[in-house]
Amino acid sequence: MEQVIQALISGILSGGIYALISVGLALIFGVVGLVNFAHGEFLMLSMYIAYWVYYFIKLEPYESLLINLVLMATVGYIVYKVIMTRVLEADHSMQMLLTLGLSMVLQNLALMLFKADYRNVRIDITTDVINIGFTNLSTARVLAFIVAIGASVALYLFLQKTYTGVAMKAVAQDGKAAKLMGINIKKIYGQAFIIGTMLVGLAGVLMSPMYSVFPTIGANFSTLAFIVVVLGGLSSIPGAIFGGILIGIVESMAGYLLGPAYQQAAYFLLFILVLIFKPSGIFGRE
Amino acid sequence: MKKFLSVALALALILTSLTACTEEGSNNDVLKVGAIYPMSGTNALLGSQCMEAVRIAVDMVNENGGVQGRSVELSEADAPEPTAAATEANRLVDKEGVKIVFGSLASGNALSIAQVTDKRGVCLVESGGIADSLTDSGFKYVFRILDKGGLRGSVGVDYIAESISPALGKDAKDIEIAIVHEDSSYGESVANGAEKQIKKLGMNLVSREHYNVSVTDMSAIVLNIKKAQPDVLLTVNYIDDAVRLVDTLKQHNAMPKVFMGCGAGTTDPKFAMTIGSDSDGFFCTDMPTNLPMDVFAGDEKLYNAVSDFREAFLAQHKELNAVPIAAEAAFTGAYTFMNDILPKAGDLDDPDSIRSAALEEKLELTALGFGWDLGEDGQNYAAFANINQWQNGKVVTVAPEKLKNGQAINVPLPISSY
Amino acid sequence: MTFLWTGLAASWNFYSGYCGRLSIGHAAFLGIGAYATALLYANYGISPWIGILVGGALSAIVALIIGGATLRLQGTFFVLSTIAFAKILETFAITAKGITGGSLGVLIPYTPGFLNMTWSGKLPYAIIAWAYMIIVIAACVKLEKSKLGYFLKAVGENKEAAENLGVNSSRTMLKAFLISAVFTSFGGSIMAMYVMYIEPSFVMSMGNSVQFILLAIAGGLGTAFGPLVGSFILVPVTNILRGSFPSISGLHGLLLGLILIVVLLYRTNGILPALREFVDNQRRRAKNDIKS
Repeated sequence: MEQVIQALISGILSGGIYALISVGLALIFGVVGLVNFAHGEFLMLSMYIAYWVYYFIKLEPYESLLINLVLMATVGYIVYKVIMTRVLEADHSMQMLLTLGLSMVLQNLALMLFKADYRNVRIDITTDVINIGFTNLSTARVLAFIVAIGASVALYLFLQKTYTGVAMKAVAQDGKAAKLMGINIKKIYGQAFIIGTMLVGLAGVLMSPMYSVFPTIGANFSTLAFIVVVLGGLSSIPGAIFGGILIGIVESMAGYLLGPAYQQAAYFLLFILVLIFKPSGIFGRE
Repeated sequence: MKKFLSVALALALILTSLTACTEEGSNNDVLKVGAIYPMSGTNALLGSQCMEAVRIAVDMVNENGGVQGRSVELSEADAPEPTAAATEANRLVDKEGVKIVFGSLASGNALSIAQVTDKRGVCLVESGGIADSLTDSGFKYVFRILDKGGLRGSVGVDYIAESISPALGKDAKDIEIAIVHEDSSYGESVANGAEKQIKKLGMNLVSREHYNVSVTDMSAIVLNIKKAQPDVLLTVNYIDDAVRLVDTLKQHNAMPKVFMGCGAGTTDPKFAMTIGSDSDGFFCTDMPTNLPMDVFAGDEKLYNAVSDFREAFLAQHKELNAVPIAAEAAFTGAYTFMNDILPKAGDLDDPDSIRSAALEEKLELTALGFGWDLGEDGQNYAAFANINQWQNGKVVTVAPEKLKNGQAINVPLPISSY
Repeated sequence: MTFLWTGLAASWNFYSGYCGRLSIGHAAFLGIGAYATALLYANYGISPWIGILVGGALSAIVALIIGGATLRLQGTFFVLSTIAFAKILETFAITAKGITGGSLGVLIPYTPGFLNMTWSGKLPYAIIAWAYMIIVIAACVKLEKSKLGYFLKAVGENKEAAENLGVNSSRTMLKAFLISAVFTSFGGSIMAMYVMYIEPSFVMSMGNSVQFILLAIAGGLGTAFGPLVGSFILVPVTNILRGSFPSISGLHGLLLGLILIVVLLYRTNGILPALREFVDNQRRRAKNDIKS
């Protein structure tokens, strides 16, 4: 029983990370209407930044957070300006394919520049453990979970309370109407895209003490993020948080109860079932 | 419109056939060899290290005057997966006209390369893929220098029965073993070998689980181990998952009394470099690797070759303190074949002549510490796996007796949780 | 190989291209075809020619079940469900060792002969792959002129409008999806017999699905000859790049990605329509020249 609870908690903690990656994706999808297959590659990029900063100037990922976020915002801005602005009007499948192309480019560019080596930032927190009762929690994961939930809540409040946030929500609900209301849609799109990229940048920072970075790491997480976002009802921020945690739990419990071999199959199955019985996602509107 | 299409089609056809037909005539001054490794995709890291090792071997052979007076020309190919391996093998054979292929790290690639090369009478010298089927399927020109199939797993189990159980003060039959392995053909082969041996010796296998290397959290795996509370964890991993497995074992206080890694990840120099002093006492069974130089003392030429290779390789990899085993094996395969076997072949352009040279030649020692003694199936039956242990960040060989250069320490592990 | 990829890309195009709904899980059908053929032949000695058909039938059944469940989903949901479906099948292939041999894969024995669909040379394979390609392309040409093709395009463009005009959208899509799956499965069977070795992490990988898409898109989405043009340009280019610069790993992937981006940004409908346009312009100009 103790181990079941431990597995449950581990799942929830992983879920926090999935949630943070997915929140950015959900924001971009909700506001810009873009399914970004290169989201995982942005994560990779952020982890590489954290790694190289650590490698060269010995700043730990948490300390280099600001540098990382600024760089990620720049990347987001460039990608948005150079590529995304041209296809905002285009068909959804075209956009998806375009981001798929972008992910191939980024992945292979990383392979060419940084080689396939697994590079890791190994600092004290990597192996630190917090013991609460009979549970043993990885400090880095707990920290990641707290920050992830904090960032997601902050994003949610931002969307509720600030002018830009409300404008984003308006655009998400009805782009045309928002335009008529005098909202500069392109600007809002750009802002949403950049915030989404920064959020995944934050995820990269939190993850770099836990995971090695290598060119294909993005792929491990991006499919997961998609599933989370769809489960949560695509554009819903609370949905993405809930979806992330749910997937974390399902993955961990399936791994513990059925065997590690079924971890991934379990959440894919859950995903298909949800799609069949409630296509709009658990948190989605009908 | 139709006319245009047919013209375009015809043009495309001509173009492709042109690219396919630029075959070069054979040249008697050079010996063309190929190397196929995954240089992109998930196995890119080990693949490119192997390729570097083969390059070094080729340079070395050329500096010594080549093979039978012919200089060796290496054609490289990148094969991230089996279909690409087949395509690249076809290219090397048809277009580059290679007579020998070195490969291939992954068993899947090796098998699909062998399906191409064997029909055309091109030799495949395998120093990475361990799947049984590579030498059990009747291929004529496939030569595998390293141990096959589950040998690493079964050697690990033997060692547990013979040396670890007395150290733990238990009868071999009472030792509880859990197997955790990654789910590619590598992990599967080794784990099968281990399981078979456990059953044969009547030992107690308490659980066997497999996972995918892309798994994001190892907690579920580790909690399963914790539930089983085995004496020995026998595990097969690549490098990144090996490190995370150890971290997670520590996190959940689930470190068993003995950690027995079987190849690839746990033998990699980066493994101990990353984990640090906690790795003291972890076992890893694999091909012999990074043997102390005095093993080669009796054979001056081999001694120089091995030390030159290690120096050349590490010069390109300042971040490593030892040569990864896959690269050492790739070097051994290429070097032994070009240096010891090919000079004995009557006609380098006749695969049967190479085959009989490869089968007849018996070597006492290669750069991997074992000899060369091929069976009719092309398997090197002199190959074995040894038991290494990490001690102070270095690999120490603790068995078998003749390669041993240290005593096993830390049984049970001081960081064991129960 | 180029023929085979063309056929596969065209098979994918049959559903996704015409209907404009991406399936990123088509490698699952490739896997079903490859496994059915390889397992029947390697374990029971059943001729691959029968194996191809069995694989096709299996794929049809799976396509019916999966299609029935997921085709009614909206665009994005559908795309993601295809990925999930392929992943589940891959896990099955790895885990069900008793049936599939697990991750060790299946090695196909080499005994040349027509009945065994195994030859020592490459030519017979090329002929089969060529025939396969021609059949799929012919089917696409026929589709373009058929009721199903019109319905499919209509559904792709505007589902509600098409339904109002009396098109049974789910039946139309299911039909096309089924045919597309069966064709892909045939391609998988041929690939298995050509490579003579299959393993789950490869035949069912997402990389394969992406490859179909890439080829079809580059050539021209929803055109019968698009995949042909795309494959005949990209497959040799990839092979040449991989062959010429093996030490710069990642270069071919990088360029493929760039090509995909450029094609999508500047020629949303692919190389073939662009060429067509170019030729038409030339012709018009030529005509004008003659007139003047």
